[in-house]
Amino acid sequence: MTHNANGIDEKAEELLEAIWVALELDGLERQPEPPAIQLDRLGDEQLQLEQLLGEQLAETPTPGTVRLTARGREAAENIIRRHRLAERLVVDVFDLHGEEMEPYACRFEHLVHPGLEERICTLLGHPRVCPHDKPIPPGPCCREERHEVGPVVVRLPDLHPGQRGTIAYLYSEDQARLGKLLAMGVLPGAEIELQRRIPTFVFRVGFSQFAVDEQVASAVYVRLES
Amino acid sequence: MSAAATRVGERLPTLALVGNPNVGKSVMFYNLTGRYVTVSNYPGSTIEVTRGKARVGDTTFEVVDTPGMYSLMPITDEERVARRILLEAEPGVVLHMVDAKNLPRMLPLTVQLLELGLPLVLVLNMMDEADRLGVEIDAAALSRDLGIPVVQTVSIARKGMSALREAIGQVMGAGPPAPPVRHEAAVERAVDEIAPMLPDRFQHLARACALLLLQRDEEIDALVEAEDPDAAATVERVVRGATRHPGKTLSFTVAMARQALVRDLVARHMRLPAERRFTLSDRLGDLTINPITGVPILLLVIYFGLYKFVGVFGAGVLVDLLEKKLFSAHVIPWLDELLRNLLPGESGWRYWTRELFGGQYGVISMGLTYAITIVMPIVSMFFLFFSIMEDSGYFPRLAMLVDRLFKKIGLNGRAVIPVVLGFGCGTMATMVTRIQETRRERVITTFLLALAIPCSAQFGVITGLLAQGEQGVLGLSYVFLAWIAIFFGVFLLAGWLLSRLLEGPPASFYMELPTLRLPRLTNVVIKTVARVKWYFLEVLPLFVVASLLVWIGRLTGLFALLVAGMRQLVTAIGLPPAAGEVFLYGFFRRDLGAAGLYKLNEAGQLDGAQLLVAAVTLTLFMPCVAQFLIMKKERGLRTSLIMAGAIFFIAFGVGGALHLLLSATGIMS
Repeated sequence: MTHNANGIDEKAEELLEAIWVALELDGLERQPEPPAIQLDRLGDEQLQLEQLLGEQLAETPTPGTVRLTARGREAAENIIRRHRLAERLVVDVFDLHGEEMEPYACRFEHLVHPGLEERICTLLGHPRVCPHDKPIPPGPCCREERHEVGPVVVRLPDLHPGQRGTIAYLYSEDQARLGKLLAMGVLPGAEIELQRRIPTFVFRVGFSQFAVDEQVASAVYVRLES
Repeated sequence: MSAAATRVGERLPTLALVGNPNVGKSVMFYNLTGRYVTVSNYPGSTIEVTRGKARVGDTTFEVVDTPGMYSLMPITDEERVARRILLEAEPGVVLHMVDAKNLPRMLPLTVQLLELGLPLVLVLNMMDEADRLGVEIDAAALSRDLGIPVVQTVSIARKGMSALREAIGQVMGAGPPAPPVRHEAAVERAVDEIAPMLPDRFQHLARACALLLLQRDEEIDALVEAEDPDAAATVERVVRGATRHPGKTLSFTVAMARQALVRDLVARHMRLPAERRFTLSDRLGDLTINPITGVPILLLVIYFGLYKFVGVFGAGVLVDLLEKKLFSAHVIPWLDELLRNLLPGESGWRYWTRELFGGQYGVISMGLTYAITIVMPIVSMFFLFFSIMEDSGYFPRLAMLVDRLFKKIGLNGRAVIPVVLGFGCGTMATMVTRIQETRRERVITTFLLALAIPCSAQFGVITGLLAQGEQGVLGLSYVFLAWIAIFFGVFLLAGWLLSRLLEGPPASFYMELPTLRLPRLTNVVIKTVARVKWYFLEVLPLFVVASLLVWIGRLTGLFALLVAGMRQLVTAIGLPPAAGEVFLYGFFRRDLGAAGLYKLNEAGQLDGAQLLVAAVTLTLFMPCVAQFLIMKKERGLRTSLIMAGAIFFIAFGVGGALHLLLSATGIMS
């Protein structure tokens, strides 16, 4: 199972989420030091408690209760934010509603990494509430009221020298052109840095340097680092 | 030589060196084989394959240094040849050589080689560079996971050789390694379906061939088609069925599966430094590709490499030494006296027999003398310069610098290699146009080589001729600079027009820029010697043939006729009639033409303006016989004749226009 930025897996993320929702139900989620929650309110997900304790995201002040640490609170807030942004995205952009929406939103929230989350938030105009009218915790992009979304994936010629990213995919009408890139070991998932645009495009993958013309460079689509 | 090597009627097991270009294969080859080496063209191609013998433990191998390859799906001729060797030779052992610091990029080929099912050793070469950069590799763990020996070496320092020999002994006869990757279910199903249908002689490589067929490999497809058309049809159906998944091509799916394995291996067994360390060679490399510093560096390389080294030293000092001090002063007078004593008389068979060997145009006095005293020193110096550039990793940088300019004439930066080689020998350069991908590029390059690129012999002699006169910059005379500007202008203009005339897709440019490094003496010497040897074997006989043709032409009176025609033409562009002979002989050897010009000038028959007109016309004039023959072989008779006609017209057209301009303005009188 994959582990996320907090060092915990998706199941444990859901437990964090559940604790936060329980606090929200009591109207206590904004308190600087949220109180402990009875474990039996959290359903099956409490199996992942060990992970939260191990990562010092939560503590057990008395048996049968759980309390978020400051770190845990922040992590939970981020997860809730991603979950609700994902719901908004699925509803507002993909136009899926009700029961249709939930499974997609659930899958999405785990795929949305921090850089992407800000872009989605800006794209949606910094929404305040989710489709169920629950508040979405604001992120840095909301506080700064950003209005422009930078692209997530760009073609290699659109990078500026010194900019880095990960190769997202390769695409060209011309199969032979793709073959050249594949054969040189320029493959999706590899880290890439554009070094020069003039006199022609020079980029680095690993310890190797390549020179290609604009047509070949245009076949490389790069996911930008945030 | 060992007993095993000389056993008759039994083929030695092959040890194939495989890998990307610039990973130290050739040096490793010489480490393994020592002196018994043959260089030959792979049948049906110009790609050179080096073979030698090596003894490892009790086994004597035939070692093959295959041309550089990036992948088993070939794009260039080099890759096609390398793959054919692997598929056909059934090597006893394959050494996959990689540049250790770039392991992640090179492991996909290791995986493909494992899929071939041949006994494989992975050689992590250039470990010294990897160490310097702070790259760490757990070779033992990698070996365990891949199921093959992994050896760390520094081939140029001969480090790790005994471990390598041990590994070779270990895999020899150890049976094929297990396939490393399970591909997507659809791919595996198709492989299982295709493999048993393949003809018998592919059976030992069935899995690899099936995978190649799924990636739509035309060569394998054609081979199967030729042996068993029914199987080919069935294979085609399976491939089409497997490819029907929307939006994906199978080569991508297959490459990604390999990449997933590679990524996993790299993540677990290789540690990269957190911060990339920049070495001196990185900084120098950056300077060569930044146009602000790169163009001046390029001009310096041309000035010192081509002008000072090949032109002034090769064509000046060395030619002077060999031709004037040795041949003209001692050998030729001695030969003349000998011939005159043996065959006295000024007419009849005695005269003509004497003229066949001696005299002004004889096989020995002209053909061999020019070849040895003028062409050899110049061409050798050029090949030395070329090999140094090649070994230092400068050419790809030069290619990227000129790519945009070359796109304007329908070529791409890669064409810089045949073009630069054309400054050495146009005949060899015309053969090298095979590295280009499209026919359109090959036609344009062939034409420009014949028209506007002076070969080194010509360049050397004309440089000497035009060195006199008022000095401009860097001790170069204005006439010389004007000559360069004119043929370079014609090069661009003719290329631009031709690229408009010939339709075709734009040439695409992609090249790896290898790390700049100090050229290795052994590499440079080996490459230079191989080229000079080629030149002597292939081109020297043509000198003799050319001398013979001149002799026959003179004997039959045919030349007198042609010379009369040429005299008319050269007079029309303001040259003395004697220049007619120069042009005619120039066709038999371009450099002979230049040498004739040199003699004409020494006799005081040319003024400054005439010298420039003659130099320009001769540079643009028809290629020598050898180059024309290669053109005919590579491009066909019709195309070559059209080119020759166009060149004739352009040479005299430009010469005539230049003559009119100079006499009208009186600039050089």
